[in-house]
Amino acid sequence: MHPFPIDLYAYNNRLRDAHPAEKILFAGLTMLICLIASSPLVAVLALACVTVAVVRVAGIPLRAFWYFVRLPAGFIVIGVLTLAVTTVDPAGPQTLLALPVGPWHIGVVESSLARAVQVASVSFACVASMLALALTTPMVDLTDQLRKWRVPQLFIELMVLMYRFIFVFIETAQAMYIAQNARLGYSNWRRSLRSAGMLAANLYLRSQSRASLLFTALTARGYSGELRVLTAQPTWSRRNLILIACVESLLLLTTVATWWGAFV
Amino acid sequence: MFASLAQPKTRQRLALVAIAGLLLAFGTVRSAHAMHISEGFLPPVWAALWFVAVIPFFLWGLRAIAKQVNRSPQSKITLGMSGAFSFVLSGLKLPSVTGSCSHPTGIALGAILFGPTTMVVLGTIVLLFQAIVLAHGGLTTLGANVFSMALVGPFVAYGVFRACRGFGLSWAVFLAAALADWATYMVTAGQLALAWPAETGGILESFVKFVGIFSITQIPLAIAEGILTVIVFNLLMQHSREVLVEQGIIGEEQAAPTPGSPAAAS
Repeated sequence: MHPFPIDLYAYNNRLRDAHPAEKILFAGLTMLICLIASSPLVAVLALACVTVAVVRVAGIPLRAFWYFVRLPAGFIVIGVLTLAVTTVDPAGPQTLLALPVGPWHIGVVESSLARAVQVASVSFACVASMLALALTTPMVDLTDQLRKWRVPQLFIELMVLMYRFIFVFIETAQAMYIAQNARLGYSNWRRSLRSAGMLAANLYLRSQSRASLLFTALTARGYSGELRVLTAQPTWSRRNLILIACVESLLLLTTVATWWGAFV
Repeated sequence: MFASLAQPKTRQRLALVAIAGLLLAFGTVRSAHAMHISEGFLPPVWAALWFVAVIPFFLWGLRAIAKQVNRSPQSKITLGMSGAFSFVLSGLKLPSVTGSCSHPTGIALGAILFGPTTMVVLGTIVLLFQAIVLAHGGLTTLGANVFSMALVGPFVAYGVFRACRGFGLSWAVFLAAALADWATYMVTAGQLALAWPAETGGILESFVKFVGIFSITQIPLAIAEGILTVIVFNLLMQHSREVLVEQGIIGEEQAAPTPGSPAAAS
């Protein structure tokens, strides 16, 4: 199985060849508007627009998209419940729920519930926007784009090297895990810790020896401290830009409308 | 139990339905990735502030790496591999008391092996990849996550390791790993509390709430990670002690074999 299903979709979708800057612009603007508006209405609208874009324009199955959107749900739901539950005045007019705990009352008030709903909706909308970028743009395109934007060369090269070797090391780690597991290396907690430790130590030594092998191989091919590769020349698409402009202005207009109190 | 409720029943029911709905809509709550603040969870001002806070440290780390690369071109490759190792390690399912649980393992190990300034840069890339290919953490919250996991964590680990090295390597490594975890989750709780203070109790109440929620999973995990890091470090001591001495991770006097190390006993 592929270690990163998101990466798999990034190479297999209808927006694969679209200009990466378009996709960054779409995801970035949507996130920015959602965060600034911080209104559940704008967030739900953004979620809908992004879902349509990902499913209809990029051709990614809805089920897969929904699965990825739910990945950070653990953090969001726990975080949001922590925001909703607070110390309350049991006689307060806004109190929805109050349970006595020692000298205090903990429960839910209208405003804390409203905030929880707001944070959860904005967060899920932002996750979806980020996924619209991640599911359509391979990491290579992102690093190419960062290079064009004059992000320090060293940083980009480290990114490229790391990204390539993550896959190599995951394969190595999986092979080690299977070998250990087949020998009952994870049969109880104590053994699991010991096996995980052996795996990590071995992987570290492997990574270091791999580095010197790679350096030797590169030096033999005339490496002088920089990896030069040809980059693709993506083109801007008018249709995509118009779509982005439509979605963002819709979100922006809704935001302004909520500020004026059009939807209360 | 509900005797102190002062409000009509419809409102309570609404609140309960809303909470139950949130839980149901997103199905089973997956493994607790409690330390990565997820995308969009911080208001824009706070998200931006944490970026501003980490940028100087990031540039410092990048300059340190650039100097090292100028001295020896191989170190760039080595650092790339080390970063890839950190990423894979962070995805390692740590055996936990409550079944297996994914957890940002390896902050301390990375800080001890590669140094905390380097870890700021490598950790930033790891967090960026986690956000993009795993939907774990986020781009808007990258600054905050880098601050807690790639800045405070490694520096605490490194400081503790250096300070305690004299008392025995195993203890130094255990404390470095456990305290780095603990510091990371305190910082995360602090970031969440600053961004979302409680209405009646303010930042303090919010901080107590988040620390309370995290401590359920994070205290046993910090101990497990401490033990795991000791096992890894002792194995490295057994197999490649000369490399550790060469890189200045352990002093010459500690290069002698340690027969009574805890990992050897387990």
